[in-house]
This record gives sequence, structure tokens and C-alpha cells, in this order.
Amino acid sequence: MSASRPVVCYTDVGGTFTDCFVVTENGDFALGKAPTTPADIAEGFHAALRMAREHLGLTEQEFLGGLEVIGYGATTVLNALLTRSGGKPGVLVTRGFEDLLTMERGKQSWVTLSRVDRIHPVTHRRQPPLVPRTRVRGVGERINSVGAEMIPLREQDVLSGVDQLLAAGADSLVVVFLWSFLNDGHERRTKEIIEAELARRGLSDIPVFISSEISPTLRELPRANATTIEAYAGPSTLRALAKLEGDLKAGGFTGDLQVMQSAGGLAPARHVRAVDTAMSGPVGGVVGTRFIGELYGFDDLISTDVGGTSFDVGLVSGGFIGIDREPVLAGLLLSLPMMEVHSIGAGGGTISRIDALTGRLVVGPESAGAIPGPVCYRKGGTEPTVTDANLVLGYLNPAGLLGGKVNLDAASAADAIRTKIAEPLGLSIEEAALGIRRVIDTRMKEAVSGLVSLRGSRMEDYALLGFGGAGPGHLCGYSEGLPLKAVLTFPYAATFTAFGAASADYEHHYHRAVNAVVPPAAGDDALADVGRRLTAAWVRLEEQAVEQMEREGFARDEISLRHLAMVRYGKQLNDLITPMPISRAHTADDVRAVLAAFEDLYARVYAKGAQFPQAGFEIFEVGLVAAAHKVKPWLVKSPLADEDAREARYDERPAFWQGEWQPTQRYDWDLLRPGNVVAGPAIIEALTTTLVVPPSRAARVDEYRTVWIEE
Amino acid sequence: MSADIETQVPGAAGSATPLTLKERLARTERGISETGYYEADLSLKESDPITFEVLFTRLLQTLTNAREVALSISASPSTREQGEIIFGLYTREGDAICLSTGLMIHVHTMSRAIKWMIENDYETLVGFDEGDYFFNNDSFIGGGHPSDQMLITPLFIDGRLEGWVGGLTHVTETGAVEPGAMGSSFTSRFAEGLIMPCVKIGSGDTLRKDLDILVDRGVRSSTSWLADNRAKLTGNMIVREKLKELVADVGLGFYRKICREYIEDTMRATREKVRRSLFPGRYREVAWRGVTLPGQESLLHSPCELVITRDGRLELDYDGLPSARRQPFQATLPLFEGMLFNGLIQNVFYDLRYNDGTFLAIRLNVPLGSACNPDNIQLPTTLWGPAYGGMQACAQAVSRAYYAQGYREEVHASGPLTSGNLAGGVDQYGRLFGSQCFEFASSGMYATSFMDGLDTAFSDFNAEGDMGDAEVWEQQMPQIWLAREIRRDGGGFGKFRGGNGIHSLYLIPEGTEMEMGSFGSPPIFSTAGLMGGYPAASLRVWVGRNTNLSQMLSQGLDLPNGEGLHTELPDFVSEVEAEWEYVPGQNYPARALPPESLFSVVSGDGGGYGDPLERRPEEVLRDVVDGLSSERTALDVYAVVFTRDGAQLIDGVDAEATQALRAQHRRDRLARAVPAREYKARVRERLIAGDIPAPAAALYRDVLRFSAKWAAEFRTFWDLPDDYEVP
Repeated sequence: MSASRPVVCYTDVGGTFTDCFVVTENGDFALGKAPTTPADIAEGFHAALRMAREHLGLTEQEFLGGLEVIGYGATTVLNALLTRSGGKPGVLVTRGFEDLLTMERGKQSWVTLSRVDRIHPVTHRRQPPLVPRTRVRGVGERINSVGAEMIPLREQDVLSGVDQLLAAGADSLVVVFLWSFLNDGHERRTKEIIEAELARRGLSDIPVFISSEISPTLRELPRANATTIEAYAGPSTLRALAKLEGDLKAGGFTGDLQVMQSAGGLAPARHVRAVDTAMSGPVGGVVGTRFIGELYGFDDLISTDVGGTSFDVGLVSGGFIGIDREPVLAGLLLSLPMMEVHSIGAGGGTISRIDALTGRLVVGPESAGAIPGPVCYRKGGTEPTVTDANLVLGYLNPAGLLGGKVNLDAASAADAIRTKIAEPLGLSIEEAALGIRRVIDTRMKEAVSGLVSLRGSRMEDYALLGFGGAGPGHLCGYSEGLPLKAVLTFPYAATFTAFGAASADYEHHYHRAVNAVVPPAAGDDALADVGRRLTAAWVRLEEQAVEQMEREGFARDEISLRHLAMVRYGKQLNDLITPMPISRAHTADDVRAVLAAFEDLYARVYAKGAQFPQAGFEIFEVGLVAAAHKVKPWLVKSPLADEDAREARYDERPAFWQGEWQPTQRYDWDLLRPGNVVAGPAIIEALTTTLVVPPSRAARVDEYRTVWIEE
Repeated sequence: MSADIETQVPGAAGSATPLTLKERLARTERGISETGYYEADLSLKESDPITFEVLFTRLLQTLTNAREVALSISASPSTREQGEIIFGLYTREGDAICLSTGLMIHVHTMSRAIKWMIENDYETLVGFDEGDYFFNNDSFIGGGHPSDQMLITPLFIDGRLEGWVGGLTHVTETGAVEPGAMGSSFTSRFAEGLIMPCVKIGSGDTLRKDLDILVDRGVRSSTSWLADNRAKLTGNMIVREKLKELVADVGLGFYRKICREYIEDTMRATREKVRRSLFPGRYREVAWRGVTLPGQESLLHSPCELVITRDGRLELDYDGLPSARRQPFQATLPLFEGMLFNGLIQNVFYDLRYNDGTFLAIRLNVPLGSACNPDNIQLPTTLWGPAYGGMQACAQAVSRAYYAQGYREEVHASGPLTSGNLAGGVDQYGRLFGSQCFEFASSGMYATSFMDGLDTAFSDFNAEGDMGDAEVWEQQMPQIWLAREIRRDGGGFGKFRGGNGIHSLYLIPEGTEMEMGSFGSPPIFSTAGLMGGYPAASLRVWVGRNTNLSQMLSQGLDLPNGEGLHTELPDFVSEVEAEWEYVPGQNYPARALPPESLFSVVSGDGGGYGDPLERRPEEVLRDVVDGLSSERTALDVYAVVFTRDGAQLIDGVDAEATQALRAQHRRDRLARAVPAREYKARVRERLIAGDIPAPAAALYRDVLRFSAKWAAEFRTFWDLPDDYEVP
């Protein structure tokens, strides 16, 4: 390949593979893939970069020296949590709450379970706490629910607690006091005392984390979890990032290593908090979806990512990506904003079986995973999977996947489906395989329509993007019958998440507690008082955001700010993240505008009949999103050729459609040209994915090589 | 798919004129009774098993979506934090077809309410139209107590009523005599607050404003009631509109038939699950509750006879329950059915489709006039006592049937009691409030045959238990948590110990006006152990008035924050000067408490499994180090001797001393033992002499009169005269 300067590189370190995606100044893409090396993430990282670099035919200096942005996403924090291989934090909590991390919340014992296991209590389990009870100490102090001091801080408790925690082997210290997000005075003073004491002991390298800095939001357990995770996995994660950045700079890279955050958006590795990066994996897909939306002028989009074990759905509504404010990470409840991605157990490796009691066909949520994998992989799998069904139906190339690197055994797949599904149901093998597909496609489709209706949106407003290795194979199935504006997929569907991550902006999310209760029929004075509180909180957030982003090298005029308020009706327990029409609320009318924005959103998300203004309103938190533009990948526009796709044709292969085997044209995705239209039934194969086009649908390639699925 | 398929109700001939709902309901019930089938065949399932599965997936996802939306709108902590919310889809006759996740108790209670409307001629007297909403919190009709509030809407297709959608949430204030709806002092149903029996509160998808006003003026704080109604309305609308789409896809006849097949399929699967999982036989268990009201202190028991037949029939007989009385610890039949359904789903039928097929496959006898099927609607049914016990006893019997069949992994001790805290007054924002704190939905879980029960995790009435965060509760209710901790030694001791519950110590803050109470159980062991495991600890309340907390604060002293290491008296009682009141059990009717009062409550704990002397000493050590068990328990119950370091801190197990102590414990047991015949004779003498504690005597007098079957068995077992009465 001729050398063209690489501009943007994004590397996603997954559990099994590390994927690298590079865009050059010509708009060409280069991919790198290497096994992830958990013992030293850098090894797999550099191997993936090397593969992409070699694909471009560049030296290391040419490659790293040319790149303007290197983005990075990793599951380092998640892995540390799953394997309980982090540090040894010691925790100081409000006296009386010393059991907080061991009693946790009941929800943490079942939140990650399937529907059946949730209702079957003998399957519920507790994970070992990140911090054992023996490394927790109480401190006499109390702030109340309106932010007032109720019990003064007992400084002697802090000193004795630190002494005992250090004696117990703590390598970092965490402070979590109740209501500290409303009044952080006690936590800040405690931090001062601890740092002075550590300095006195010559232990200033022991980091101190306070919850009002890490996660200043309501709910003590999620706040404690977030703060403890930062202490538990943060120091090692940040050390690894610093080493990685050092390696890159030594190789000629002149920029800052940028890390993907769970809420979307990149941030410099030197300034990021580890806990904010914990769920970067699925983020790229949604960010990329928004990027594609901007290209085509779609404000409302659905991202759907079909992998081996899960089907991940995310929404972009009105150009905004949904944020989950109470996410679950490795079974721990958090109160940090993370991109909203709903997952169900449905993918290529999903296992199908016949229920012994009812004789019903059950597909998922269990997965055969990479090992033992589908039966056709011949790695020990014995239970028929969705991939096996696809192979039996002729949708996957029996010669193998990844250009023959993965051999497939169609006979074994057929045999498994025959004995385990078809015969018990009295169906033919093909009918059974089709049944597996129908059930899995229905589950995916219901997950999509469920999320759209959950957000009160109309399906007609949305374009749906399908990606992930198994996405194009099921896209037509799970989008069938949905009144969508458009259905799109891509030749680079299998690496779309890395592409998407490369398209992210620099972004930080900030939030801050306020105490703003608007009673029913509030007068102007009460409203104006609420306005003052909101404004004061936004100003503080703006100062924080600008200070941080300027430190990261952005000029003030490069930073865009988006103001948010988390609003709910009186005494409700959920609030809505409401984008604000204003950035200051000086008058009662300004506050009315805030509340009107909330009421409009509420009616759209739920129903007009669900509005409840007579209960008054509550705003206990405001937010701010600060962003700065970053150079992004760009898709090269090519002139449209005619619709005839004959140059991309391979051969015909029988595939099972509508109850019968039909000769089906096979295409090479790489050879399809802009303008080409492929009418179903057809199979369009790329190296890393296969697009299945049924008889009633067609695939049209546009000038960006994006494929539009048409009726 | 054909739209011409008609349902084939067993035993019924086709009718030329459309049947009324009442006629249809009667025909269905007659058909089931005569044939044992809900639908004569499973032709759709057999001819197209894939579509059968695909459509159910759509129904399930629709209901689950509705629940998720409603959860976001709800203003009830018990709904939002504990997930006490469920949506269901019902046939025209009111039988549940499919349910969302959530509180399974109410699957059948909503079914009861729909059938009640049909049987009471609502079709002609009130009328059913598209967009109507019927509200019910009358527990004799459906639901468990007035806190359980359902909103039901008819499902119309092409102008004909084709089914029902229902949503139910548990709200936290009903305008009862005590705030928070679930007071333990109620002796009449009219103390329970505002009750609306299947009232049409909305039409045209709009809720009536005058009824909003009725609620607003009828309860202390109407927010949770009214906001939850909106949540349910929204959820019902989502289901209704999706159902219309689904019926348009498949045809009305197909829809009707397949819904009936889902229920029939579950009936058959229920029997098959019983046949495969539970060893045939007759199992008897009993669970205990109590009543503490002024002038009324007695026990309640819930005797359960479970019969498993070789062909998979499951029969439950509760003949022997005490009679219904003027006390709050009883349940209506719909609730009792719901509790049993919930327990059976959690323990046996968790992997089936959740619908009324399971309920229809089970035979149940609950005597009319008993404490779980009162025949007088003036009686309160607030706190369910014997219904809860009925579920516990059933679960114990099922555990033994599992054990006999060899399914050890399903065997467990009794689950925890439900308890809770009630409060009302003026909150920190100056608003009127009345609410329940349901943090005790995360109680200690039962021990199983292979592991300890989880601490602070589980609720027997809701497997998806959660206590919520204290900060959220403090925002909803003005009390301040001075401590929230794992209750040490609460779980039943055993080879595998029961999970420990929660202890919370509340402070009544300055600037509020509050009355506070709690509900739970009298001081008896209500959560049984299994296979030698101990029962869970009993509950208690401590209330401290006129405390010296201000003085302690001004002197820079630490405020109390927990029960501490001493087993006799909690630390907070020792540390704070106050007028302390100790209440055994957890029933403390709400009373005004001045600022700076302290209120200490505990949640239920799980029963233990197996002999404590078989518990691994290392596990006992771990529990003591983690503060989950006391040294005294380790020594007296588990017979484990620890080694200590130079500072006298525990640092290990003295294996030799432990072995010797355990041997001594076993010898002591043998020394205390008496032959069963001798024991029986001693008890017989006490019965004849009337040497029975007063609460037990009151129970036996009542049941000997109320249940001929139980009386005959009691007299026969203890070899008593045929005319024996408790002296």
C-alpha cells in the first residue's frame, strides 16, 4: 500500500483481541489486530499498532510522527475488578456506616443475573468486597440531607483511623461521608488531615481519594463504589497509561495519548480518572453512530452491535447520546455518567436448546463464547448456536471465516441442530435453523423497539446502524417490519467500534449537587431563589471545566459548553437529564423555561398523561458537558457507478429462504462499487463479516461505501 | 396466519350469540373444572413452535418495557428502590397470560380483581370502554393491602374487549390511622385508610381530576399514590398499543388461541416440573407468627400439608389455620394465593413461563373464615402474618420434597420475616409526609444445603430485594441514620448460617414533627432452620426519648452508632441517657417522638441449615473477624476456640481445643435427650393440665373449635380425649 500520512489512530484493548484502526490523510483505513496481553497490555497494543503500520508501509518514526491523535480504550479497570487484582485501599466512612461496602445493596447480589436466576434466589451470590471490613474505619461526623452540619468532624477519629488502616496494609486511602456531595467540608478537611499525617510519616506517595471529588452525586453506595474503584484500580491503570504514552513519545509521537471515557469523549491520559474509563468498549459504537448521523444529517439514530455473546443497543436522540446515570460495572452500582448501552445475551455464539419441561425452543442468553464456541468451530462446542444455524442455512461460507483462518464444520453443525432442536420439535434441520434465527432476531428487534419506546421516541424518526462481526448477518432480520427512516451497515462493520471511537471529540462531563425544591404553585421569589442556586452551580462547573480543559491545552474559544439540569417532579425518585435552553437562570421566568424544557421532555419520553406538575419539581443536580473539536476520520466520497454489481459477484451457493433451498448469488463486499445495488436473496462477504440479504430486501452502496438496506 | 382460529374451551359448545364476559368466565371455569384443561389442544404450538416462541418473546418484552418506563415515573421508594411493581397481560376472562419481571405476588391478585369486576356485572353496570382505567386497592377484591394499588385497563381490538392490561405498585401512604399505611395497631379495615374497590378513575386515557383531589385530601402525602397512578397508566398504554400491533400482525383468532395455549402449556409444564423435581408424598410443615395488641397476645400458626402425586399433581391444604379476628396479622385469599404463587415460582417454577397456568395447575384449600380467607370484609388484612407463614411452610415442605428427590441444590431453610418502619409528619422541606421505609426488603437470606445465606440481600416476598441508599431514604423521610449495619448473629446458626439482616438506628432531627412506628413480628422465632439449623433471631425495637444527645455533642463526645460487641445490651443504649423503651418483636404502633429521640429497628434474618457443630471453624473465625458473629456465639454455639496474639486479638483457630469442645457439646446433648415417647407423654400431661403459655393456649382453643380436621389430628397425635379442649 502506498504510504499516506496517518492522522488518527484508535486502539481498543478488548478481553481477547486488541484492535487498531488508523485513518490516513487520504481517508484510507488500516487495521491492526493482535491478541491482548493481560500481563502487559502494552505488548498487545504495540503489536496491533505495528500491524496497522506495516499495512501502510511506514516506519515507526513515519507512523508515530505523523499521527495527530492516538486514542486508547481498555478494559484494564474492569479486568482488575473482575479478577480482584487491584490495590489495597483503606476506607474512612461516616461512623455507623462501616459495613457499607460489605452489606452493599441487595441489588448487587442479583443485578447481573438473567431473568430466571433473578427470580430463583438460590442462584444469588455476593462478590468479595473490594475492601474487606477489616480495612474500614468510622469517623464521627454528619452532614444532613439539606447539606447542614449535624455532627462536627471528629478529627481524632481521622488520625486514629489512618493509623489503623496503614497498619492494616492500606496502599491508598478513601473517604466517603454521607451527603458530602451537598457539603464537602468534612471530606476536604479529612483529606487535609490525612495528607498532613502522611507527609509527617514520609508517606506522601499514598494517594487519597474523597467521594465528593470522584462522584459528587446522591446515593452513598454508588459514590463509595466509584471512589473505591479509583483507589483500587486507578493507580496501576494510570501508571500503565503513562508508560504507554512514554513509549509512544519515545517512538516519535508528539501528541498526548487520549483515553476513551465511559460517557463518551476522549481525555488526555495524564488527566483522566481511571474509573471514568472503565466501560470504554461499547462506547465507540455509539459515538461512531452519532458521527455517521452527522455525515448523513440524521439526528436520531440507533446503534446495534452484534458480537459473539451480546447484542448492544444505544440511542442517539436529537444528536445527544443517552447517558446512564446508575450504571453497573462488574456487578457494582455506580453513580458516574456512562453512555447508555443496553445489552442482551444474543450473538453468534448464543446457544439454542429445547426446554425439557415445555418442549419450547429457547435461544440464549447463554453463549458458547470463544471457547468452546459454536459446534462448527470444532473447538469442543456441542450445543447448537446461532452461528451454527447460519452455517446450516447457507448464509455463512462453509469454506470458513476470515478468509479461511477459521474453518467451519457444516456437517457437525447440522447434526447438532438435527438431534438437539429439529427432531424434538418435529421439524426439518432447515426449519429448526430458521427458527433459531427467528427467535434471536425477534429478541434483538424487541430490544431495539423496547429502548426506543422506553425513551418515548417514535421509530419513524430513527435510522438504524448495524455493525459488529455478526451484525450484518442479522441486520435484515431484526430491522424487519420496523418503520425506520433508514437501515445502514458498513464494510468495516466488524471494526466499527474502533472507527467510532476514533471519531470522538475531546469531552468531559461534570456534575454538581444543588438543593432546589420548587413547591407546587411556587411564586416568583421562590423561583428566582431556585434560579440563583442553579446559576451558582453552573458557574462553578464552568470554572472547573475551563480550568481543566485549558490545562489540557485548549483555548477558551475552542471549548463548547452544554448545560444540563437533572429535573423530576416532587418526590419522584428518577430524574431526567434535561438539556437547558439557557446557561443562566436570573429570573423566575428563566426557571419557568427550565421547568418547561423538563415538562416537554417528560411528555415526550413518557406520556403527556404522566405529567404531574401539581407535585412541584425537584432539582438536586446540574451538569455540564465541555467539549473541544478533534481531528476525525473522514469517509472518502466516490462517484456513483451504475447499479449493476456483477463485478463483485463470486458464485452461487444454495441458501435456505422462505421454506426452500434457492440458488443464492454470493458477492465480494470489497469489490462492490458506489451505486451498486444487490437484490436479495444474496450473500455479501467481507473478510470479517457477512451481510445476509433476504429475498424481500436489497442492499444499495452509496458514495461513502455505506450499505443501505432497502425494501 | 389465520384470523379464523377460534378457541376451543373444553366442555363448551359454540354459541351463536356473543357471550357476555360473565358467561365467558363461567364457561371457562366450568371447562377447567370438568376437563382439567384450560385449552383442549396445543395445536398452534405443535404446528408452529417457532412462532409460538417468537410471539411470547414479543409479549414479554412489551410488558418488561412497560415496567421499566413506569419505574422511571414512580414516586414510591418501595417501587423504585425495591422494584415492587409488575405489569401483566390477561385474557378476557382475567387469567394471566404473561407478566413482566417484578413482584410475583400480584400476578394472581390482579386476575382476581378483573374477575371480580366481571362477576359483579361491571360490564353492564359500569361499562368497559377503550381508554378506561379501573383502580383497586381493596384487598378483598385483589391486592394484598391498601398499599398495593392496581390500575387495570381493558384491551379493545376492533371495538371488542379482548383482554386486560394491569399494573400494580406498592405505595407508601394510604391515609391510614398510622402513617405509612401498614400500622400494627389496626383492628378494623377502616383503620387502613382510603380504599377504592375497582373504581373507574379514568376514561379516554385521562385520569379524573376529582378523584385526584379525593386522594390528595384523603392521605397525608398524595405524591406516591398519584404519581404511581400515572406510571401505571403510561405502562398500560404502552402494552395496549403494542398489543394492537401484535394482533394486527397475527390476526385476532390466532391471538386468542395462542394466549390460551400459553396458559395451558404452563399448566402442563407445571405438572411435569413437579413430577420430575419433587418426590411424591405427603409433607407437613408449620410456620409461626404472633399478635401483640392491647389485650390480645397470641400466636398464629400456618400449618401446611403438601401432597405431591406421582403424576405431578401438587396440592396444598391449610385446614388448621386460626380463624380471622380483629387484628391486622391476616390476609385475604387473593393475597394468600399470591404469596403461595410467589413462593412456588421462586422455589420450583422459576424456569417456566410466569402466568396463571401454574396457579390453575395447583389445588389449594384455604378454609373460609380463616386468617387467610376472612369472610368479614370489616376485618383488617394489613400485615399478612399467617399468609407469610403459609408461604414459609410451603417452601419448607418443598425443600424436603426436593431433598428426597436428590435435588440438594434447591434445599434451603426458611426465608426472613418482613419488617418495616413507618413515619409521618412534616419533613425537612416543610412538607407533609407519610411513608414506609422498606430498607428491610434486604433482609438476611436463608442458608441453603451448600452455602451460607447472603447478608442484607434478600426478601422472601421479592427475590429482587434491595434496601436502597440511606441518602435516598433521608430525602424521602426526615429521620437521620446514625447507623446502618449488618445485624450480628441475626441469621440462624448452622453448618451453613442464615444471612444476617440490617440494624438501623434513626435519630429524629430538630425542625421536624414526626411520629414513628414499625411492624414485623412478636418475639418468637418465626424463621425456621432446617436439618438441625437454628431459627433466625427474633426482632426487637428500642426507642429512646428525651435523650442527652445535644449534651453529648456539646461535650465533643461521639454519638451512638451501633449495637456494638455486647450481646445483652446494645451500645447505643449504654451510651445515651434517655427514657429507653424496649419492645420485643417489631410491632410498635406509630407514636409522636420529640426531636433527638432514637429509634432502633432490625430486619429479618435467614434460617440456618445443618448442625452448627459441623460448621468449618475457619468460617466461624472469618465471621467473628468481620463482625458478623460474636465470640460468645463462636464458643457457645459453634464450639470453636480461638488462639490470640500478644495483644489478645484473635488470630486463628485452636483446632485441638475446638475438637475437644465439640465432643463435649455432643456428649451434653446426649445427656439432655429423652426418648420421643417420654417427651410426648410429658407434653400430653401439660396439655391436659393446661400448662401452656397463654398465647399458645389462645391459639389452640381457637383452632380446636375452628378446624375439625386439625382438632381430630391434634387429639389423636397427643392421645387426648375426643372432647379435649384447652383448659
